[in-house]
Amino acid sequence: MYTGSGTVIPLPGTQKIRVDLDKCVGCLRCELSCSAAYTRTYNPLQHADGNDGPRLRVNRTHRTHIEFKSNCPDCDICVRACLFGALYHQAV
Amino acid sequence: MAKKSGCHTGRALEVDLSRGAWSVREIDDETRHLFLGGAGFNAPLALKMIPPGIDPLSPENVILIGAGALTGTEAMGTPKTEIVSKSPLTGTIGTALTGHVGAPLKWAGYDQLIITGRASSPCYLRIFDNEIEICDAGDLWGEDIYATTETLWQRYSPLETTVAAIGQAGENLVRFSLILINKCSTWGRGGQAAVWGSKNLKAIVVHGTQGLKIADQRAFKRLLKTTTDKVMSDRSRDLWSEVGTMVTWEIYARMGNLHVDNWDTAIDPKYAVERFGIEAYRAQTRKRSIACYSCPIACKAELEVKEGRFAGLNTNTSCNMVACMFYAAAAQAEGLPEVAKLNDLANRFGLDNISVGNLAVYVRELHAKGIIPSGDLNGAAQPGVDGAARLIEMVALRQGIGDVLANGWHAIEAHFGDAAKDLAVHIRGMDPPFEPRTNLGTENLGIFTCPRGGHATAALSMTVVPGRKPEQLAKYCGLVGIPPERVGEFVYEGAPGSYGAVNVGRLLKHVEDVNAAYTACGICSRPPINRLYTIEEVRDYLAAAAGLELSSEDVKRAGERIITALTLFNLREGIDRSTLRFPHKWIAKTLKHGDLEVPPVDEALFNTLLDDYYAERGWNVAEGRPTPEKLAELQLAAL
Repeated sequence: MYTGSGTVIPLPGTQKIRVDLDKCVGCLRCELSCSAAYTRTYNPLQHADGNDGPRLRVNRTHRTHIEFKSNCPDCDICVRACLFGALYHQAV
Repeated sequence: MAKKSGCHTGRALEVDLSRGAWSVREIDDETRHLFLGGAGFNAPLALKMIPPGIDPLSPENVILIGAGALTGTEAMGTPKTEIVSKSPLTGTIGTALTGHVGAPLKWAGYDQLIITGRASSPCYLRIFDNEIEICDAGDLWGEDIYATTETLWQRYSPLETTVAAIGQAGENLVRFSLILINKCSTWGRGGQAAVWGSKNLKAIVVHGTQGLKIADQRAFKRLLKTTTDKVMSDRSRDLWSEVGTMVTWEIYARMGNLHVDNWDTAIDPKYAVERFGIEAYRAQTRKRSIACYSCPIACKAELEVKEGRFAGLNTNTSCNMVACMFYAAAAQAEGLPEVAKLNDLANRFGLDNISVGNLAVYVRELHAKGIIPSGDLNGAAQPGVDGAARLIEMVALRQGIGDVLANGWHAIEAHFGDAAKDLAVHIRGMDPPFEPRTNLGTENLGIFTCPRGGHATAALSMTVVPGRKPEQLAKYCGLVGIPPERVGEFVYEGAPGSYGAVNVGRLLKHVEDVNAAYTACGICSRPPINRLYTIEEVRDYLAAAAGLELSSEDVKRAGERIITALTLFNLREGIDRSTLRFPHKWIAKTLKHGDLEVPPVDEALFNTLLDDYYAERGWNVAEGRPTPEKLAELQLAAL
């Protein structure tokens, strides 16, 4: 779980996606696009069973953190879906 | 019941609070094709389910909640979800829109939620996929909306549920009380919260993990790419994303759209911009933007007061421009921190900012004219934050004269008599946001035709800003589906009205139809969202996402069908053109706007424009009533 601006997400084997939480507006476009890619449905809230559902989870009610699951493949679907600059890639 | 292949679930959840029972009914293909989604599904069902002539606060009233056709998908700016019941404020059909309930409702497996009856004691409704529960709300009754929402979020943590709740105003059946969703988004106008209060319904908690499928993923992605390109090339987007609806504050101030003393004087634009404009907003209260689902704009906001008496106050605003219209201008709050404070109070109690502001100036005038004695008001007629805060509290808790004011404009007029009647500005019991003396576009004619009473959203068009050129208006006619060979009937020199070279009455019909169709799809009415879509693109989205094979004419025709069905509800209640009353102040008084005296609107002009509107609809012009032939043409004869 990562809070604050500019936090590096240490994904297995790579460190690419960065979060700027101050820019997150809670639109859930990242979770929508991720769920469409990996579950073939728009199902952003499907988190109950561990690694099911979208590979990241935005704390929408209070916007205190964005969490990436261990099975996040570090693709850039969520980054491309974010129109506010809250998720972005940084080359390592 | 089989799920549909597209983004409609094809299911409506019906909960009977009296019996404590629930069931699921199917939404058939014909309904999906004729009414598209959410707001469209609600319209015919309101006619079927709400008995004629009922008291809106009786158990016979029905709550219908419909999620837009595209809501819950990645289609941009399509979260709109409509609530419908018979309005306790106006006695008309009552409708209101939010951007926060429909998506999780659809992810739970329902396009529509129907609530009937009345619980015997305070309750809240929990909808988690197929788990439906009517829960005891004894511990929540009497709590404000923020406290209720936080309690329910905590109760179901770590799930991030969607919570729609009422405050003390709804519990006390205030007829302009509102429902707040996730402490931010509103089901605002017409007193929907009072209907919940009358049913002992404190809140609805929704969480959905069933997901939605897309009929043709490849086509849908292509459409998304087109829409994304439009979003990213919109030069106004950055400012909208930063300050939301405050983008329009200076425009409205310069137009004279913001009244400070019960529709007699407009705010001084220089004062409005310096004290409440974008720069002040950035410096004093804006913290960060909040979006509805899948929105590329994020016009809502979290506020934090940085200095002064209310320093540290943290609250949310669904539309800060409207908060400023009615607290900075009408209630004459001293600055943006005071606006935030009043917005916070109204949010917590659950009151409509527009009606509170309009009531504040009205009460001030009644007091000045000696119609309400000072002792009755206990300071509530004073301009500024303290007076308005007192008024909010008196109304929400029905203290003293607040008990009369809480019953809305019809009851207020009846209580204070003829002397107060000419001073009240409302249409069919709903006070309006804008006014027609400064700009008679479709918005300010549409407040007279809107099925829910005096509100402008259903009639928003490019005429919201005055002075559009004929070529711009002609192009706009094409966007609302007027064929090229007919544009000359709409845009011409000498058109009736003060707007310019456009027949606002005729144009209004097409604006309403297209807006209603878009709303049924879930598309937001904010200009940067609305203009992302052409009718043809909406048609394509419906095909790709929902599997609906429609022509663009079919899409617009669905909007016409929705407006017609809503109007049929009112006609059944005896509310027709003959019962329409134009506010005295607008037809008899000038508006002081700086050095200008803006003249009143001639009543005959209103009637000319309405004649044109009803003629364009193909309805009976004198009564404002659809003809049997028109109903048959729209496949509404059975209603």
